[in-house]
Amino acid sequence: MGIRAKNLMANPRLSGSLKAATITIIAVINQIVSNIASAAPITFNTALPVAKGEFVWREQLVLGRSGKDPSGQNRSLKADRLISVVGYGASAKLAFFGVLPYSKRKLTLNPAGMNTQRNNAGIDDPTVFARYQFYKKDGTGQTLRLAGIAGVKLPIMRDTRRDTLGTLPTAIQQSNGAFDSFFGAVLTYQTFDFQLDSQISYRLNGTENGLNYGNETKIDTSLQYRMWPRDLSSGVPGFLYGVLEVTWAQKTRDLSQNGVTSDTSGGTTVFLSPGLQYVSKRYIIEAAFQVPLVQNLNGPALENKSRLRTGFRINF
Amino acid sequence: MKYIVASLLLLFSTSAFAGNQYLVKVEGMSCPFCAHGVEKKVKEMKGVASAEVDLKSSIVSVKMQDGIILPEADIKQAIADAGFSFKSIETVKNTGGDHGHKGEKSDGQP
Repeated sequence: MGIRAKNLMANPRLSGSLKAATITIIAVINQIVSNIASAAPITFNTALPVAKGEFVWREQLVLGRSGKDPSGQNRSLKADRLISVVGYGASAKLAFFGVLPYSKRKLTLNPAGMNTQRNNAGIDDPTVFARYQFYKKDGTGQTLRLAGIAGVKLPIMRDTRRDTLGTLPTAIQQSNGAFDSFFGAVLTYQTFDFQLDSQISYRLNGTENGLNYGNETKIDTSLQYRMWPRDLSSGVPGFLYGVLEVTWAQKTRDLSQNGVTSDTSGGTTVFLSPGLQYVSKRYIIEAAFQVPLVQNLNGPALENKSRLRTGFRINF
Repeated sequence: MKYIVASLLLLFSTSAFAGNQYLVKVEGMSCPFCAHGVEKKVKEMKGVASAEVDLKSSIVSVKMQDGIILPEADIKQAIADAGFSFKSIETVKNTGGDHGHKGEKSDGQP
């Protein structure tokens, strides 16, 4: 503690105020973490549980790298994102979610030894979606739920940022300028020992600057297995889950206004994501490592390397 | 002697005015989140002094404030709002000490 801080604490009135402020801050933090989060998939948000009148907040840091470049330009893309997700339970069946990513991207091109870097950072387009649970079957220590999801990505961020070389490529813009919508279904089966979540979704990507972005079909599956404690004690113990997730995605080629398909867009990817998740009564911390298993990308598209996804979740 | 009498009187008075206690069986509750969600919703109910979940048995132990009875319809609604299903409710009488005994049970059927 510095001298100035010591002098402040020595003043009884200020000391009292500081103590009160400290107690208030601790109380607020305690209030935030005194609520809990639950097991749910790490790599997708549609299965996040939220009760009526309650909020859930998830924060995830995703460190992504792409590098294997079949084009011969030695391109590599570094994309780090901080993704904030807030959900609200409008009723026991209906929940609304908002997703706001902040990203920092660096594209490096090294054709014939001429190194060029292009950078961008800022808030990306937000996504909002709703989930409606239309089937539920509860038993002792287990539950089966099926819900429909629908949402949109709003193209409100800039898609025309420039640097000294000109307009930045779409891959590192904050937005692609297109209004995208998606719909699908998510299933959750949970017991004391494990949880299985599966999601199927179809994304209708929009059009911008004469380019109709290819649509995407995606299937996500997540298994969370309780590794600790092996035997349930009384009360509500914290759970450590081992997590294994698989993401299959297929995107069609982009289509230009004159009906020409892009040879460098679309393809199929499969990611396998092992991870860990600790769920206490008060908070959750989670991390997964996303490994690309299959990357059948059209043309000289950049291939993904592994991604690290880590974060926390708090229910208010 | 007077201290013993006073202690006994205090003990009896505590028992006489202690809140009712209930054991509520909940279905669908299978993780810490579920448990805390139910606890939170039940604690928000009027007249509830405390609510504690035992995850393994799927039972919520609810203690009421003095003289207040837990309406079955209200506890059903609170559990539904938390996203789970009410199974049954059992009344535990004489909760002043640790010598309470189980009373009537309702499975929620009309």
